[in-house]
Amino acid sequence: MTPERCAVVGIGQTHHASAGRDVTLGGLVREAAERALLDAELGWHEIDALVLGKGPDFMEGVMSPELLLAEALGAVGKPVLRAYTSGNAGGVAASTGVALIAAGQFSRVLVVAFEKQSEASGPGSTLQRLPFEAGWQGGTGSLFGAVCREYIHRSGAPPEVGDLAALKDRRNALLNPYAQVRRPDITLEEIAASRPLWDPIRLLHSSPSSDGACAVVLADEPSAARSARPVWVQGSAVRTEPYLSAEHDNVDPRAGAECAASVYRQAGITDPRHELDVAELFVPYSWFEPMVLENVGLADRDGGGWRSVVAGATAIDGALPVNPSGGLLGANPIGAAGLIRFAEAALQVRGDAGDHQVDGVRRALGHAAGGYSNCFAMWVVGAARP
Amino acid sequence: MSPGLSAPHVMAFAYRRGVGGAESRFLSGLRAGVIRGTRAADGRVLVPPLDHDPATGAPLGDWVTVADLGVVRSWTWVTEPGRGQPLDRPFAFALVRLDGADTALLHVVDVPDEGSMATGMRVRADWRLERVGSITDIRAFVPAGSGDAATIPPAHHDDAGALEVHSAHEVAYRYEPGVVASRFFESLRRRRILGGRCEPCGHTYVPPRPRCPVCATGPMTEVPVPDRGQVSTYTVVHVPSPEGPVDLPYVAAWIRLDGVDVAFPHLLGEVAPEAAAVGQHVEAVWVPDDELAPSWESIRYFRPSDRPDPGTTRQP
Amino acid sequence: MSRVAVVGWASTAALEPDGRNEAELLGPVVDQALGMAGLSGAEVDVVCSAGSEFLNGVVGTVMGAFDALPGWPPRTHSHLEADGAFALYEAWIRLMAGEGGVALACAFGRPSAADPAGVLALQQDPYLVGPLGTGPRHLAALQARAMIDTGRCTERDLAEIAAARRGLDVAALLAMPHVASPLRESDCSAVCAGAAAVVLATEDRVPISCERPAWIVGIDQRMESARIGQRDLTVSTSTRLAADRLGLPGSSIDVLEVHAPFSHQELLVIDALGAGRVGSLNPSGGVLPADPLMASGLVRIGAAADALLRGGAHRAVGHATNGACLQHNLLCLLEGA
Repeated sequence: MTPERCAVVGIGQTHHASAGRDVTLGGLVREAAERALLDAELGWHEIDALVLGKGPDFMEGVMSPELLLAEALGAVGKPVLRAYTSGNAGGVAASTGVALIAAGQFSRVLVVAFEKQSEASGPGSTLQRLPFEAGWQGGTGSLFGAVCREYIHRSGAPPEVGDLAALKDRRNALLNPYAQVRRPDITLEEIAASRPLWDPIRLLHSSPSSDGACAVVLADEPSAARSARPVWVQGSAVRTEPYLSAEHDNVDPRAGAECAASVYRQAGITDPRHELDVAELFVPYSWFEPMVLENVGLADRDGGGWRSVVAGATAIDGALPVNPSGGLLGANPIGAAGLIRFAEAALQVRGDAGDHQVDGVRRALGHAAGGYSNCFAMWVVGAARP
Repeated sequence: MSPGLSAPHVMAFAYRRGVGGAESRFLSGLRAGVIRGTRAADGRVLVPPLDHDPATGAPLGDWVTVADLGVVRSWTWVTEPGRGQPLDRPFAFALVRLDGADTALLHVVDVPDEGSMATGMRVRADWRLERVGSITDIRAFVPAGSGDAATIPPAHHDDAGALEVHSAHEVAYRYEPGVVASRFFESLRRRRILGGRCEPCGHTYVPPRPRCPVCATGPMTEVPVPDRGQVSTYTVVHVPSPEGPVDLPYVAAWIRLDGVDVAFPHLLGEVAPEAAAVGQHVEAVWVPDDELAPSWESIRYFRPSDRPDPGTTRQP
Repeated sequence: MSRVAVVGWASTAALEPDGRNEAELLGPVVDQALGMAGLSGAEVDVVCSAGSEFLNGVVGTVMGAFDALPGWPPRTHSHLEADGAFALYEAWIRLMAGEGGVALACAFGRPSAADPAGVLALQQDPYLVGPLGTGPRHLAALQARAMIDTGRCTERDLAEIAAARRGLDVAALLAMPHVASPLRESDCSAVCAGAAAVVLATEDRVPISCERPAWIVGIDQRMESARIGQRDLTVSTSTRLAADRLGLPGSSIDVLEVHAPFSHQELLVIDALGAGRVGSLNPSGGVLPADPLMASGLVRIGAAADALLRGGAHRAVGHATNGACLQHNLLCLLEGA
């Protein structure tokens, strides 16, 4: 049984913003979807199936929003799947789309992920205090801060690592017209002095809250033949582990490492640091960059990640550029953020990343993470057909 | 009698929704006192309107103003109006196909009793005097008298200023932490910390789990665990929590109790934030008797214990 | 592509709250399903789960279910906020895509709001329907009345379906008041907590102990518009489309399990299938007596497979739905060897 090959033939996203006032949920989704279809030179009638990725339904207050979005997605009369695991939802949505093609069931699948999180107010939509739990609940921010602290403790990372990684992503965002946060005057000093949130995480280490959508069109081989520059999915995987487990390591979760190992194996990669030309990694707080580098095998464990950051290896002109798009610090619409990483990786392979294009990209990694460092989705895309 | 704890849990959320496209044009039309639809690729007039054809996906831009009266295509009677519904006395929900439209609009019909409703009856919109750009700018539909002629009002040049749709929900849940978790919380009420040991794995969990997340066996063996342990990691929190009432900054620490293989989050107290450390030995500070409850809050916080900290290193 | 079969399943419905959380409801069901299949959790490559945060009142409710799922070492896990039948569809797809040989599709629901069916109202368009406060019963009632108006059925026909599923007397049901005319309480499913699990295996991973795997011939699912005023409510167009794709019209079905949270919807689904013959309809009792929200569709597929797994039937169909007035429908066609 051989899975069908799958290629990315269309990519689209919205200009991510702190709030998208004059558009409905359907309008937001449609904007990204239409861009992707235009890019693919396909009509709505040529899409066989839809996958919608989105974060918690509470963020928009609509349960099962794929139902509401039937017309906006062009889904009337078509099969639809919804992906929601956690923060990796956008990446899982892509993986589901790849599976729909690989299973030989459909020829062209539209994957859309979005979040319109500016419209919610009230604690129920973000931080939830459950009965019997403590009232002070620091929320996910404090957990992430503690995980970063643990990394620092284990690896000996100096305090400027978080600042350097943030500066790099913020400078890259200036080169990405879709990024929400673009600060031309940003300096390392300003980042280092920014308001502490959950130590060691500071304000300018953190991603913004964004409204935005992203879409990709996936195609089987015969359909990809019609495309001028198909980007081939060389590996795709989703891995999750329980987070409240004696085996779970927040800093270096096995699920993340195994997800990476799986996509490298599928892509025939044995030396990812040299065989990948660029990586779009899910970094919601800049301190996660060194952790993720180590977790996915792009740096030696126990400090190789921060040493890469300090050495400038992950800069846009470095040995292995990370997040030339600006990453999540540029824009973080929660349900879409994972798909944006995957899409940006594909844009790099196609040579369509404009001002944030890295030279000579043949192969790129897209990475999405969620939950409490326990849910992962990744793909490797490249110019070569597998 | 349920073997587990339960407590009410209210989720209140509100949304200020931006609108654009067809919804915006439709709602601004209502504000102006007119009902608009779009013509689909097959010639049908869609009310409410759509931006894109449901069959072909093509953009729809052929706008039509329809009459504000029409025919009830289906209905149901609401005997006990609930919160969030437009009327506070019994009424009907109905699908109303307005004259000039080919699809039906979902709305309410205000009549004195169920016997006054019938599929096929003609109804007209009863408009509010003050309109804001909401589906409720039509207060309700009411029976159309014989004198109500089907006229299509002239198209207004309405102010297409930004509209918002507000939603607010308050849902009351009955939260149940689970049978095993309930035993854990009850033990906290007695100043005891209950752990669960997975015999096959040999790991001890606090709180105990109904099944081991590693080997999926259960139940775990209940074991008492000491209220002392070490900080496995921590963070200094500078962001207020909506539920407060903690002074900022405070230290949230992940505590691994002695003999336990996982850590849980709690507050670190009686220590300056800069004096917190990974590996620090800590002990629980319990609340007084009158504050004990089946809750993590039975422990006020953890504080550094008197035991020295051999081998604890702090990163510079 | 490799053939995929249902090799085990289980479900539970808790009509009264009993203190159990998601993992405590789901765990035993997963054990039973795996036990029936003759497989261990370690052999599961893919887990597709389904649930609903809004129903349970807990953001990230899936995290609470991890205790019940085969989770270590790490494996493929995805989750969706809809009925478990769609998780089964995804699991089937992932196996055929080569992601593994054994999949677990599961669903859990603890609708714990005072009015859980009312929480489903949050599926409605927040711009044009939300401000009216229309609930799923009202929308279903509009559909039922449309069917009565066109002469497809009478209130007595609905009461007969309700009576058959619930083991009650037709006359007694007809004497009860409407809750949303023309629907009575008995026409509406009894929403409750519950869980379900279905185990799938590719041909080379079906255990020897499974003598009669229920082979998935095909699964098709289609969506309609959410705008009920735009639809012909007397026809389940998406079910018909799925049925056509699976070659069901005119065919013979031994066991049909229909996910009909309202009595009239059973008729709509049967009409849309257009089967030549249906041997046994809803032998499980269907959804009216107990409706573990988010699991009910998956239970229908499990119950359809059950007839094949135990022998005595050769061809079965499980139906599942999501959204008001049967907006999104799924059909799973199963056959014995």
